[in-house]
Amino acid sequence: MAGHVITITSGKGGVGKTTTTANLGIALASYNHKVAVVDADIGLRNLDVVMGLENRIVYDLVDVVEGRCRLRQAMIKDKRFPELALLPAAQTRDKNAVKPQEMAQLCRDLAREFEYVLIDSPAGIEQGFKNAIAGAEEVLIVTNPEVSAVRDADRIIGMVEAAELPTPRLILNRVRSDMVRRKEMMSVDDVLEILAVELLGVVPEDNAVVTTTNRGESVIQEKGSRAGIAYLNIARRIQGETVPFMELDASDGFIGKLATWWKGSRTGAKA
Amino acid sequence: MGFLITWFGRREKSSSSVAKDRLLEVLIHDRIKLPPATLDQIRQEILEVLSKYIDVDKNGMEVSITRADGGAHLTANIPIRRGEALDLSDDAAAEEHPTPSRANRPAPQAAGRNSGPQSFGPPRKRRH
Repeated sequence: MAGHVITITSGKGGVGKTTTTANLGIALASYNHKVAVVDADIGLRNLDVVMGLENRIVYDLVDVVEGRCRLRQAMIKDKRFPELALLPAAQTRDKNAVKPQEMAQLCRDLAREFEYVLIDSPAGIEQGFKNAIAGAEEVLIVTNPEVSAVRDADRIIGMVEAAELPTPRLILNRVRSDMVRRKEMMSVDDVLEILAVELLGVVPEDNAVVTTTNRGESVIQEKGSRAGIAYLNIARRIQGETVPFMELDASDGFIGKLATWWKGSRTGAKA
Repeated sequence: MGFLITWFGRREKSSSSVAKDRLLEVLIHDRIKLPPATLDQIRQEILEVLSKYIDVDKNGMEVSITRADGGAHLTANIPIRRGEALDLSDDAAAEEHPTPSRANRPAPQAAGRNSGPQSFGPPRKRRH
């Protein structure tokens, strides 16, 4: 079996790489695929705590690379999702503890055991990022509709192409449809026009992401969560399905609907 | 009261379109790692070369850098003032300032033939 190695990266920090990696891992596992999620952010380990697996770490990625344990010993199985396993980052080392060739080998080893290997990249464009894409067949860019995040995404897209990987696909995260409607936030189309890449998914801003992460749970299991549905849709697209993009303009209550109607009747605008 | 002004009448540029315009501008320089002054110089020199042969609208020129097919593309969009090339016969070439004088001359046959902006370089591509 040769699994598919996908790196999730962004350039800018705080746009939702780790949340995206965790939720896509859980979503793909819930579709009965064997999935490994790898925290490549050495020194700033976080994927474990986002997934609620922080108390079960024995070995980490650097232990595997340096031969202190076998790969299987370091993989933490998620009891809630039998198909899902996490390889945590080392917390006491830095990004230079691993070389790109070692990371590429690790990805090949994982791809023999798992159908999907999702690598959570650190922010930035230095060694940690280069390690994170070293074994990737595909890169997903996470960004927010903000100038700093989009600018960094553009830089990263250029670097991924320079590394002779396929042009990354885009996940636009934390979109606030109410602000887009009022033209206070760039729309999906605006960002796509600027970055000129293929859209893989749009994740609406959703408080449930914070509340579920607080508990180490996934927003996918939160009933009625729009972010959860968005992640499930992205996971289906990763599997090659064609899934229509979610209607973002679900107005927020009566006032929201009224405001939409009022603004729409004046400008003919839609979010 | 602020919202009343917003709702009734004000037509200020939205902050999202300001964001988009600023990004498009800053990405030109990010993508080819050229300082704005150098890009301006390129713009000037392209105009100088073109205006030897074509009557171009110097104020209407737009230069942009887009990413497509795995590389950066420099696209210059230069409107042509008239839909015909300059007369490059010896007589015309002898004129000291061919471009402005020709531009001021009435050109009846060109009136209905506005060819619009002519683009040099590949069109912007979107990959989705």
